[in-house]
Amino acid sequence: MSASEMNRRSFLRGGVGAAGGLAAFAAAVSPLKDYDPSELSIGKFLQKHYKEMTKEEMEAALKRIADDVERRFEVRPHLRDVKPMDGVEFAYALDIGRCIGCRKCVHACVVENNQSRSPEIQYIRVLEMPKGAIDVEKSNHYYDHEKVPAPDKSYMPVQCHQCANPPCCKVCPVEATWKEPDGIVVIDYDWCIGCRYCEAACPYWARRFNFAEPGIPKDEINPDMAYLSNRPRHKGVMEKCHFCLHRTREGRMPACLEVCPVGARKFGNVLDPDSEVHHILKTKRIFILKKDVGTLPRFFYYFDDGYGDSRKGTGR
Amino acid sequence: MKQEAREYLRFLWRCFRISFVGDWRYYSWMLLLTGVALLGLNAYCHQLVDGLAVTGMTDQVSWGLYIANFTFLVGMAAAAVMLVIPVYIYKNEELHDLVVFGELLAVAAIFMCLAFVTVDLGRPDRFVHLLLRFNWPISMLTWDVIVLNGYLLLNMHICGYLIYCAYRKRKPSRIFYIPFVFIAIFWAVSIHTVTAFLYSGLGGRPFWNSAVIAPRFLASAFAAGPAFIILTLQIIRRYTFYKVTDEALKLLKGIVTVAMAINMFLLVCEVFTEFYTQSSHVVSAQYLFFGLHGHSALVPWIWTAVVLNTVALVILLLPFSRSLPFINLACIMLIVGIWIEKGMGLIIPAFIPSPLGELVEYHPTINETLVCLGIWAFGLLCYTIFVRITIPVLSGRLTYDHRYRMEPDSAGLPPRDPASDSSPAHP
Amino acid sequence: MSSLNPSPRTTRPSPAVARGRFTWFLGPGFFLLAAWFLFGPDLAQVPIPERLEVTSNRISIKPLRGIVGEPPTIEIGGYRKTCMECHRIFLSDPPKTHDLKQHTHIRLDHGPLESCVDCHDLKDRDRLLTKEKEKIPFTRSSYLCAKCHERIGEDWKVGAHGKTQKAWDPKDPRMRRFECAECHNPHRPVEPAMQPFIPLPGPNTLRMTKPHGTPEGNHEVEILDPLEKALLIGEEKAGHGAAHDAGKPREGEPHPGKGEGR
Repeated sequence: MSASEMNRRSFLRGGVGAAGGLAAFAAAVSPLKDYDPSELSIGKFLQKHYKEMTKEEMEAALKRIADDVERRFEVRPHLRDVKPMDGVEFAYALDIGRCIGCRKCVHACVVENNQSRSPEIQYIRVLEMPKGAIDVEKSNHYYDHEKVPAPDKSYMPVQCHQCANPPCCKVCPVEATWKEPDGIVVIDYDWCIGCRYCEAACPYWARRFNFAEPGIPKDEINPDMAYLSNRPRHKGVMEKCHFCLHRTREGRMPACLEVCPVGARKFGNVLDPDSEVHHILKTKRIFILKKDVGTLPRFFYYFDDGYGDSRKGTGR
Repeated sequence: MKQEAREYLRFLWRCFRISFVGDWRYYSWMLLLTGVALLGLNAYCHQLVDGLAVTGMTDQVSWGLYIANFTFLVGMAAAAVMLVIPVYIYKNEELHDLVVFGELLAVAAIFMCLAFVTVDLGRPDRFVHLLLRFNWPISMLTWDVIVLNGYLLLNMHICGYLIYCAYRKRKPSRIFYIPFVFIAIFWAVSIHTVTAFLYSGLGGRPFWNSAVIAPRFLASAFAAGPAFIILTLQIIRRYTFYKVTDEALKLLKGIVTVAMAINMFLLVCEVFTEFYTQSSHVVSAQYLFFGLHGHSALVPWIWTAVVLNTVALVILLLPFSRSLPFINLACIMLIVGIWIEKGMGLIIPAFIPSPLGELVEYHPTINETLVCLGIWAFGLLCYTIFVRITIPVLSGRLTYDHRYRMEPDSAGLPPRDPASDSSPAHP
Repeated sequence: MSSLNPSPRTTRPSPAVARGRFTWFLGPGFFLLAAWFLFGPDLAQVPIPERLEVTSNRISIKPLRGIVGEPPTIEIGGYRKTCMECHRIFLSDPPKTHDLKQHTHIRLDHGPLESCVDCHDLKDRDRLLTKEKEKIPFTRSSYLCAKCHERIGEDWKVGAHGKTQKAWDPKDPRMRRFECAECHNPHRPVEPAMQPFIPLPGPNTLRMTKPHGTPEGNHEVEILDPLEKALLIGEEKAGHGAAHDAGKPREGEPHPGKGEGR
C-alpha cells in the first residue's frame, strides 16, 4: 500500500465518519422541526419585564398577546393591564365549617382563568379531612362520593395564600413573580424561565407548571383577560391563583366566591373597616394554615361558631 | 503579542487535532459517548417540542432526575479541591502533578451541571432573562449561577494556564495561578454550600429544612469526587504512559475514607433526629426508608445506597483495602451509593408527600433517562478529551517546538514501550 | 505494585494498519444512529389524562333557591303571575292551621310560626308584614327574618353570614347580598338549606388518574392518636353525631364549626 493510497483511504474514512457524524447530529435534532416558531418571535424575545415596560411598550405587548390569542383560539380577547387600586389590600376568608366540598370553586376557577383542560390544571384543591382535625397529612384530594358533604368529613379548599412574606418570590431567580401593592402575588408569564424553584418553595402547593402546551377548547375561552392574570399561558411557565385580579381590581368578586353555593368564601379590602373580611378577621376565630412557616398569608380560614348559639338564643 | 496569539491558536488547533488520535479503545469509547450524547440530544429535542410532560415530573414532584444529577455533580466539581488542598497547603508532592486532573474533572462536572439545569428549565429560550433581571442576592438560585460559573472560570483558568505553560515549556508564574488556586479552594466549598442552601432554605419542605444538609453535601462530595478521581487515575496509569504513584492513590483513599465516615455520621444524625422525634415532619423520611401507605418506590433505592455506602466504608477501613483493586471496588460502590443518596434519596423524597399531604410517586421516563445519560456521556466525552490533551502536554510530548506527530506511527495512545515511559520522547 | 502496570504486549500490529482497521466503523455507526433517530420508536410520549367535562350550568352563580323577584311571581298553568293578580279576586283567608287548599307544596314548619300571615300581608299579597305592622317588599325579606334571628341578621348585614356578589366594596352600587330566602326555605328552615350536592369531578392532573391510596385507611396499624380513636369508637357505637362530638376536644387546634343550616 503506497503512502498516497493510504492517505486517500484514511481521508475517505475520515470523510465518511464526519458525514455520518453530521447526519446523526442532524437526525438527532430533527424533532425541532415541530417547534412552534411563534414562540420565538422577535417581539416576544425583546419584550421587557413587566415592571420595566413603558406605556407604549405595554400597548405593543398587549397587542402582540391579543394577536397570539386570536391566532390560537379565534377569539379577540378584551385584554388589558389592570393596575392595583389605591388604598386597597385584599384578603380572603373561608368558613371551613360551611364548605361542603362540592368543588364548584375549582371548576369555576378553571373556566374563568383559561386554565388548561388537558392536561388539567386546577388552582384550587379541596381537601377532605376527618371532622375535627385539620391535618393535611390525613387529607383526601380524590374523594368521589355520591353526595357531599360526606358524614363526619370536613372540607378545606386550598389555593394560593398570597402571602405577605412569599417564599416563592424570594426564590425566583429572574423576579418573574412578585408581590403587588394590593397584596396579590403575580407572575409575568412572559418572563418566567420555568425553573420551578417557586413550586418547590411554596408550602401551600399553590403553584402549577405547564408541563405541556395548555389545551383549551376554542369555545371555552374567557375573553375577559388581563396581562397578569388569566391570559392563556404557553408551556413551560408557572401559573397560580391571582385572586382573579382582572375582576377584583375592577371591584368585582373572584369567580370562586361567586360560584360558592354556601357562601363560605369572603373577599374584600382588609383596610376598609366596613368590608366583610375586616369584620370577619376582627370577630371570628381564625385559623392560619401552616402558620409556623411564617409566610403571613392573606388567605384565612375561620369558624363561624356563633351561628348555632344565636339561632338558639333568639327567634323562638 | 501577535506572535503569542498565533501560538495560542496553534495550541488550540493541536489540541483539537490530538483529540481525534487514539487506538481502537479510544475510538470505541468516544463513539459510544458521542452516540449516547446524541441520544440524549435527540431526547432533549423531543422535550423542547412537547414540554416537560415527557419527563416523569408532576406538579407534586416538580424536580426529578435532572436536579438530582445536578446536585451530585456539583459535589463532584467541588471535590477537585480535595486534591488542591494537600498540594498547595500541605505541599504534598505526590499529588502535585495530579491536581490538574482534579480540576479538569471540576470543569467537566460544571459543564454537566449547567447542562442539567438547562434541561430542567421550562423555557430555556429565556435564559437571557437571568442577565436582564437578576434577583440577587435574594434568590439562592442566582447565587448558584454566580458560584458555578465563577468556579468554572477559575478552574478553566488554572488548568488552561498550567497546561499552556507546559506546552510553551515555561515555568508557570506563581502570581498567575497561586492566588486563583486559593480562591478556588474557598469557592469549591461555596458551590456546594450554596447548592445545599438552595434546598435547606425552603421552610415549606421540612425534609430539606435542616442545618445538617450543607455539611452532609460537603462530606459526600469529598468522598465521591476523590473516589472518581481515583478511578480515573487508575485508568490513566493502566492505559497511558503517564505516571501515577501508589502513594498518591493511597493519599486520595485516605481522603475518601475520612469524608465517607463523616458523611455516614451526618446521615445517622439526620436519621436519628427525624425518627426519634417522630414529629409530623418525619413523613418524608418514613416514605424514603420504609414507604408510606403502600407507596415505596424509593425504599429499594435508599437501602441499596445504605448497603453500598456501608460496605464501601468497611472495605476502606479494613487493612486489605491497601490492595488497589479493592479500592477500585470500594470507589465504584461509593460513587453509586452517594449518587443514589443525594439524588433519589435527597431531592425526590422532599416532594413526597406534597405539602398538601398527597402521595404522588415519581418514576423517571425513558426520555428523561436518555437526556440524563446523554449529559453524562457529554461530560465524560469532555473529560476524556481534556485528559487526552493533557497527558502528552504535561509529559512533554506535545510542546510548541515539538509537534506531537499526528501521523499513525505515534497515534496510538499507549506506546507500551517501557522506555518511553521513563523518558519523555524528544527527538 | 508492578502487577498494576500492564506488561507490554509483544505482538502488536503496526499503528498504521491498526488505525485503518479501527476507524472504519465510525461512519456507518453514525449513519445507523441517524436512522434510529429518524425511524426508531418515539420514546417521548406525552401522557394526556382524560378530560373532565364540567358543563357551565353546573357552576352557575345563581342563588340556590332562585332569585326572589319584585313582586314575586308564581307559575300557574304555564303563566307567570304575581300574587295579587289572583288574590285581587280570591281574598281567601289563609287558614290558621298548616293545611292549605292552594299552594299545597308549601308546608309551614318554622318554629313557633303557625300562620301564613305571621309574615305575609293579608291584604297586599305582594308584600310582607312584620310584627310591627311594617310593610316590606319581598326583596327585603331578610329585614323581616332579622326581626327574630337578630345575631345572624347582624352577621348578614356586614356580610359575615350569607353571600355577597358582584362587588366586594360595600360602597359599590353593584354589590348584591343574597336575601335569606334565596338560600333558605322560609317555610321549612328546619330542613337544611343545603341538600347534599353531587360533587364535581376531582383532580385529574398529569400522571394522576384515580385516588392514590386513602391516607386514613390502614386500620391494621395500631392507632395511637386519641382523636382517631375517638372518631372510630363513635362510628362503631352511636353513628356519626357521637363521633363528631368526640372529635371536638383537641387542644391547641381549633375545630371546624358545626356547619349548621345545611
